[in-house]
Amino acid sequence: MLKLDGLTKTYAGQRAASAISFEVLPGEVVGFIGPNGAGKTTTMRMIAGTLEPDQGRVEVMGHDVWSNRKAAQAIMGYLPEHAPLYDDMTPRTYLDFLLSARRVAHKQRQELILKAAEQTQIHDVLERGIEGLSKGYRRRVALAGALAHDPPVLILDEPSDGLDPNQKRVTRALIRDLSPGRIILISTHQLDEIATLCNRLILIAEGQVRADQSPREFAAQDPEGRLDEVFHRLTSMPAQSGDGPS
Amino acid sequence: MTAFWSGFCALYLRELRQDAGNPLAYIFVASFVSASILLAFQVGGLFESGRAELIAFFQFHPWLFVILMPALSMRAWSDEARTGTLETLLALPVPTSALVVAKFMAAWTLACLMLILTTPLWLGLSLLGPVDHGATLTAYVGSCLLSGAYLAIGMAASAASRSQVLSFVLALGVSFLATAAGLPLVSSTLAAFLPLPLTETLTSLSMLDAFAGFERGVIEARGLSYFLAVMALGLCLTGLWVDNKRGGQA
Repeated sequence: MLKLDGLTKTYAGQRAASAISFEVLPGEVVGFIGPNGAGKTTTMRMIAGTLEPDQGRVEVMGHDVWSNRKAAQAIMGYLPEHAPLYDDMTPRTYLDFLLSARRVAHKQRQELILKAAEQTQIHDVLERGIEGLSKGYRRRVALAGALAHDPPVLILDEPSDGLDPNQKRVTRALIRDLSPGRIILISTHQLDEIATLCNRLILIAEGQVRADQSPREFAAQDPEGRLDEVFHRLTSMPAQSGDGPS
Repeated sequence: MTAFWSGFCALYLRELRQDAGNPLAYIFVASFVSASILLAFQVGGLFESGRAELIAFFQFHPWLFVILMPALSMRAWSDEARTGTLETLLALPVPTSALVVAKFMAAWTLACLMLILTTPLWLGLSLLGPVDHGATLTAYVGSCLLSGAYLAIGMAASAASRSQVLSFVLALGVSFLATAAGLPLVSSTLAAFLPLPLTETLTSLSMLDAFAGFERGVIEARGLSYFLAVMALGLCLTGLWVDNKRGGQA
């Protein structure tokens, strides 16, 4: 289980996340949505152990991310925002680097690299320099880096950003294939992605959770079932006093 | 293999491969080798001294390192922060200390390689006359430690800022002060304004002072502990600043 309990983070007097609490069970694909600056990336970074919360805690499969960071990070795959990569490497050397840092044996590394390359459809560019890859390929190389070690928990910050419709379709199919038994949390701006991919959505705005329900229940709040209308209404609500940007 | 060693080995090899494929690394090595030999002959008067010794060669190392080591280390952390790859590193189940030591050791390996490439000068000189090989080897060891101390300062400066230029300027400034403090001109100027014990303390903290023994071919415990302490301090500061980024600082 992934458990967030009262996660709070403040940057220079601005509250980026305010007492965020929720739980995600294995098998759930959770869409994490909200307007720009809502606190999605901040929350995902706190889950991944790359940003320390001011208050609250994150537990991944029983491991506290801050008191037992290495154990928690070992079972997580994390795709950071903007999919940062080392331009001087090839996808193969990049994946090999990540896997060797995760203590995967050499022979097993080659198998996992090929598997991740197949899953993300980057096998044809495995030996090419990352610097020369298109945005779509770069995003998929970074995604391969997140799932290469076959983690039970995937934290993906905008995995389909920059992909063309065909690539998006492949990525969504991949996430669906990976979902049984896994915890998957996806940050996205694309509401259609939520409807087709996720069995639950969590909407945050101004650092607060505004909705936590199934996409069907979320859409049902609008007479025409329009996700964008419900999104607009919920994100336009003022923040509760004491929370949100000060 | 522990999480420390797996993280260390992976990042150390990555950094070395990056250097091997980077033309700037070759330019950097060539600059040091040519500048150090040129200075030894043109300014240090290596031939004119009439002695088969390399003091004229080693005496310029601190000043060359003041410029070259900040240049070598400026990208180490600032570039990771700028491009966002630091996020990838921090998400690995690896202690921060492994990342810090790996980056430092990779840069230090390049610095040591750079020194090894100057050994033909030593061999050439030994053909011309009797060279004190023990003293020369000691001077090389000292120069190696000296480069490590400057690199540790550079690494800390790189972790402190996202800007390569700022990191370079910061490391250059600290390195220059740590070196110039040992110059007679600086110590006499300081003595005019500061109490004598303080002046002596500041002068004794100079890189030049710590390197002087090695330069003469003597391994001094004081010099050795000084270099190791500077390296430890630099790496601790680097670790603190890298960890600080987990707290959301720049």
